[in-house]
Amino acid sequence: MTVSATAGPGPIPSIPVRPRGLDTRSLVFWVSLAAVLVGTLSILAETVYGLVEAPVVAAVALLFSLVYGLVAVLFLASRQLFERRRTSAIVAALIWGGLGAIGVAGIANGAGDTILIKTAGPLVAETWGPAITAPITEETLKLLGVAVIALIAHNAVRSTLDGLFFGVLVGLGFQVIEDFSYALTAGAAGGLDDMVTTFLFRSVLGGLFSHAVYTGITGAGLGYLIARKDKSWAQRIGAAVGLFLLAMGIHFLWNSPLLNNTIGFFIKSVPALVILLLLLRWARQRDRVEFERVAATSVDPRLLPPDEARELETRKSRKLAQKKTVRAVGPAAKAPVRALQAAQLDLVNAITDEGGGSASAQLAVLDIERARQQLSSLAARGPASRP
Amino acid sequence: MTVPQVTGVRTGFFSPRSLVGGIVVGAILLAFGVGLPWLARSLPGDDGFRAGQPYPVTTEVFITPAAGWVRDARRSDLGVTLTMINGAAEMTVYARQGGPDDVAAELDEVRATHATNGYLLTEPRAVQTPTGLTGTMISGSSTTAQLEAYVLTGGEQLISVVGTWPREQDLGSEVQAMTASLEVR
Repeated sequence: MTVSATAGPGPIPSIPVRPRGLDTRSLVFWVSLAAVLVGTLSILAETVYGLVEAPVVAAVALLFSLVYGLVAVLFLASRQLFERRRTSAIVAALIWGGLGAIGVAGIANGAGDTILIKTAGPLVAETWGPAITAPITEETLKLLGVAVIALIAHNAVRSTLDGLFFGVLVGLGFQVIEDFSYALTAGAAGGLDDMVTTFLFRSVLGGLFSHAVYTGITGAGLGYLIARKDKSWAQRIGAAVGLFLLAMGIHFLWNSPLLNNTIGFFIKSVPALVILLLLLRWARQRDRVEFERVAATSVDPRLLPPDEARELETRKSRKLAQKKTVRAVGPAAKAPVRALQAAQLDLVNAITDEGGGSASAQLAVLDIERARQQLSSLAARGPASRP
Repeated sequence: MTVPQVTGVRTGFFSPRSLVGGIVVGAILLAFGVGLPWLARSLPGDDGFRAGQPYPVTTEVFITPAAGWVRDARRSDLGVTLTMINGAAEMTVYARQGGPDDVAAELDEVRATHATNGYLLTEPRAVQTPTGLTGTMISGSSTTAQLEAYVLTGGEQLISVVGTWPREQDLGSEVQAMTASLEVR
């Protein structure tokens, strides 16, 4: 049996063909590529001293940073609930943060420091320069990365949660390379111990309160601005600007010489993470409501019955449904029931992104049918497939 | 039943999304990558780095540059490191929190780093600056250059100084004088 992806009769809208990866025909792509190239050269110019002077320290610092970044990306990717975001968009976000934004920010920060030195003197620049310059240049350039993803990876940013997710990725890319640069500077001057200490302090201890968190907050604002067309422009712009200023304020406080003690560390760091987690919770709730709405109104119930839609809403309920099926049909049902759930999620996403008549939706329908057939044949075999 | 409608977003180089997006993204990048440096260069004044005047390495550590040395902005990081150059000679001052217990380990790291770079290094010697900083120093030479490295402490600050200069540029006395000028406020 072949069924249509969408519920009920009615013409399926004509869907324009759009690229699934990055839109390499867009001017935004080429401008971004130029920024990444300039940024890469800028980073190389800043780190070449350490690379030449202390190659072993540089290699270890690079290894630490890459492993840290990889673990963080895999963790983030595993926490996606309703959609599996495209690898191309994820890689683009990391590259923008780790090569484009940080490289251009390096140039801009140097200029900002010079402006401060010339206008306020070296001591003021020394004391307040990092707090004044970096939040303006870095937060803007990192947020620009989320905008770039929205422009060149179509439908990648279609909710507040998408903005937050890609913001965290852009910030993570930035953070990994910045931490590498600091660890290398410390290591080139003071050796491997200083490099490891700097890495542990910045990446491990400070990592949860740093760029990934700031850009997650600003990205959530941009996602809200892009996605919440049900709200007024004033509300959308207000939320985006408000969150941007909030992240800049937190970044200012973190970089400032104020509260430089143990208690101050927590005052400067923990609120940023708490704000991000609250935004995450709220955005996830919103995505769940949207998922329920699309599942209930736009998907053929033969493909996604209401009870199965409810089971998809949390990781826990998905696991429970898998266990229930395994108990009823046998252990061989584990793979097909997981495939079924994945295909059902793909179908809801495909309908939301591209419409019910899209090739992605049709592929998801085929996957659902295939998984159901496997489950049916396993159930028909009865006890033979049970432990 | 409502099927979410996909809006007819046009793609391609000449689409409004591409052109307007590209121009806006490019303008922001140019503002930060070109505009800000141009503004920094255009503003009257200098970086405050003058011979004979104390200059902050961090908010607590100050050094007085000798004539002929300039601050290498690219390799100086506000609040952490100050790199000064004079022709092919370089002097980097790196300051962080630390005390006398950290000196030996810090010097070992400095020695290890520079020994691998072809410098023949002397044994450490105890030093004290006129400003009250104490610590140890080593000197070294390679086929083309000479080096002096100091690890000093004072006022809970640990300061590493590494000066290198080509053999044909006799700048050892200037590196020593600038190191002697280091003070913790």
